[in-house]
Amino acid sequence: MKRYPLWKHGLISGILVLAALYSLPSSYPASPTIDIRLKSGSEIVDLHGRTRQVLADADIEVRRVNAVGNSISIVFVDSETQLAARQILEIELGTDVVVALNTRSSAPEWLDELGAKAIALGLDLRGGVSFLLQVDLEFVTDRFLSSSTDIVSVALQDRQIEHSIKREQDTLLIELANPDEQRNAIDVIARTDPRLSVTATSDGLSATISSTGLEQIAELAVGQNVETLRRRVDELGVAEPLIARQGNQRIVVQLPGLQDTARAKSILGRRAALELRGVDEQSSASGSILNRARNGISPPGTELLSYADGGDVLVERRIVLTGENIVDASYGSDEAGRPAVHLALDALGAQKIKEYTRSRIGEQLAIVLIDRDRTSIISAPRIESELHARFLIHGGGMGFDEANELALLLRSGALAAPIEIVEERTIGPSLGADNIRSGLGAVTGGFLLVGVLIGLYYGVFGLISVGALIANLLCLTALLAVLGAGLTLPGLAGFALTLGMAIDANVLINERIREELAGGLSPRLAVEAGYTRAIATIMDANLTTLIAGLALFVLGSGPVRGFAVVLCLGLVTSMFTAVLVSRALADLAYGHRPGRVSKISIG
Amino acid sequence: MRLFTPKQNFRIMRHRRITGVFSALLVLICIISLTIRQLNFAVDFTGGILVEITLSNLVSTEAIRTALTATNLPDPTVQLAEDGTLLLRMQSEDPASGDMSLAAIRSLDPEASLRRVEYVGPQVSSELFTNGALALLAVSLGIMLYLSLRFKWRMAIGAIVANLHDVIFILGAFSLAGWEFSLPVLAAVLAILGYSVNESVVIFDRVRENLRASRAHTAIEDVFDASITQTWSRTIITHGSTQLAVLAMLLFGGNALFFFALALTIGILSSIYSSILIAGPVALWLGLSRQDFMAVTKRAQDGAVV
Repeated sequence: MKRYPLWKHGLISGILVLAALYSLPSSYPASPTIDIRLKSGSEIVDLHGRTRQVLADADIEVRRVNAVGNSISIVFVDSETQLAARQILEIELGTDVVVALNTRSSAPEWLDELGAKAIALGLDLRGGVSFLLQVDLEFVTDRFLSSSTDIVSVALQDRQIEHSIKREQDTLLIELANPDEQRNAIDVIARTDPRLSVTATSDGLSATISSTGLEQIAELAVGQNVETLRRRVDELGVAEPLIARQGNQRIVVQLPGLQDTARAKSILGRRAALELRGVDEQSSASGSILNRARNGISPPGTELLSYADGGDVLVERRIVLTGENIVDASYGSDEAGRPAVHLALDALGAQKIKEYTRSRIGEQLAIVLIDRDRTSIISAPRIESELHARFLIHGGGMGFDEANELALLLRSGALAAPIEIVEERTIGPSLGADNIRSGLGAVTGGFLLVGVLIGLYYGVFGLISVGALIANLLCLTALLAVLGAGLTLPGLAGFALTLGMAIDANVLINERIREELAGGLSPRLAVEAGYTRAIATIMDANLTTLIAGLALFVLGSGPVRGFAVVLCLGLVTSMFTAVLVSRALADLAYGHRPGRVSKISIG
Repeated sequence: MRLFTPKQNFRIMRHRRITGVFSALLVLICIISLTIRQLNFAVDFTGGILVEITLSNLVSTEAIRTALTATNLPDPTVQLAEDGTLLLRMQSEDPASGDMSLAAIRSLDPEASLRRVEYVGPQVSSELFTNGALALLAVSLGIMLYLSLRFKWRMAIGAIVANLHDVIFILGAFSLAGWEFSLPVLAAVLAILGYSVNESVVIFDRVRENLRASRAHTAIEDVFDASITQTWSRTIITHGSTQLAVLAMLLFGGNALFFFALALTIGILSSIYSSILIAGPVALWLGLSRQDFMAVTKRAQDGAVV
């Protein structure tokens, strides 16, 4: 057996020390924590300082405060202090921050400073909800095509191109009065919106959304929805939420620790938009016009809408203001103590409403709510004076709960397109805890059973193999912690399975050494031969499992993916530990003896 | 300690007609069951909703049914275990059904706590199904490609057949017993595909090595028997250690890991069986002979180990 050079020993022990260090935080129990972060779009000066001040003033015992940028994590001694602190922080820090309960490894600070974190737990282990949402792209293209119809028509009119335009499903059909203008018209449309692709037909043109146009439109709508969802999730007050796009029309939302899934569903998917529109009082006063409108023929430029608490009225189609100009909304009560939503507008919105109301004092202004695809008027108060950036709305049979929810939805903005829940997985807290127990039981049980068997069966080389197994455990834990990929229950199963399969490499090596010894080689040469000759088979074994692991990763979803990640990483770490680490250990056990080694212990 | 080093070579290959008929029968039973009984697919693949609730006091199945029917939920299957674990399955396309059924149960038992809800919409379930089938295909193709590069075609086909046998065997067992086939079980099947091929590879490598070293008149069956015998110790220890890890999952892994671990157990046992009683016999049946190993390639010299 050739001796392992010192640098190899150094390198291997260096890696193992790092692995031990980075897997250390995962071994500490979790402590109750509060996570504080700014809501998207909000700003607060010195959030960190203020948080510390609030805690100090309230005399709350804190174990540790970590601050990274605008997110702060406070570790408490027990969960009573944690809950008390949340109450105070929520009141003192106001509505611009999210104050969420969480847990965190109680590892000492110096580990944290080294960037060593505990393994992140997946939803099935910590409890919570995972939604897969699908964005209704048909709605988006439909809206795009109907607005394109108008835009194209206006653009052609501007160039004095006489035409008629109609929409047939996904195509705009444009008939030209003068066929010679075809080329010209194509240019105009192409310049109006490059997302339209125009082709000439026998009697005019047809325009459809081009495939890149479709991608752009989808991209924009899904992106906007992600932003809105992010703001809405902020309102739910969960720690470490995940909102991410998946594919071209889906969004994953993961809310750890959330229990009230019904409320989450109602808030996330809700389509709520607010519009301020003038009331056509003159037409509404006439019974005959109103009756005709009820039969579907409204006067041009108006629309018949009903009040949320009964009755209907004709409302102008022109929108004075939409929810987009609302920068803040909170619920409270009006002077009479009735539930109300207080609104604050941005500069543009304030300008718009000021200009509109100035000349229309005494007229009615309809506050129109589009909620869950139903359009209704909350109230239509008379304009008593010029309105400014701040005003309130009430009425429509709105109670405090409704006012609260409406304020929340207005704050977070409207969804660009409807979304539908296509998959939901909710794990209750008791199941999460059970899953951790099951997973850890499988890993430790597997480790002990395999370790004892191998240790007994192969003597000193068995102990060496067990050493390699421990090294594998450390390396895999450290890798999972550093990568930050959430560990799931199938992941823990993969962990246990990896430990069982990783030992295969050592079995191959040990069996080979036994055979070489039986074949008459001296112990040192037998060990040497055992390691070098077994490598090809070890590679073979790992390669085929890796093929399966990669296919699982690419084609698998959620839980299966977690299994695949651990399986693949485990193969990599086990190659290192089974071959290099065990070889280094064998070298330590036998390599230092001078002269010939006459006997080795391999069972 | 040496427990698995037989003094004499096994004599298996001579009886390969009998074992072949036996294997074919087993596979046939699996295939018949898969066609007639099919698999008991979990909500992942069928779509719908599954709700698990822990009840704090005794509520009769009848009361639960009545409460659920009153809320207009689509005809749920109710499964109530002795320990108060209630499982509801509904073929619903409305994600709110989960919240509604929890509310209905809470009206009977206010302390009832939610364990889990799994809602899988029709688009997602069909995607999971397709992707699962694709993954199975991709892994099979990947392994076939690997084997065809690694071995002469007769051996490659032998190993592939052995491998597919393992998959059919796991699926057949799940179908026969009516165990639930979920995403984790599929993951176990795929892991076994990658894992079990290895056993045939080790035996075939040894066959190749022994054939070259053996005298010209030694029957190829004896070479196979000798190779199986020589690798027996490794086979038992390797599979034994993997099985110990899986055993820990069966014992300590709770309900959540049970079927996953069960699929692995069947797969591990099946892969020992098939690498010995299927891979070799199929290769011999396809006409594998000594002549196939006359040309010694560089790869073969390197690859022949253990």
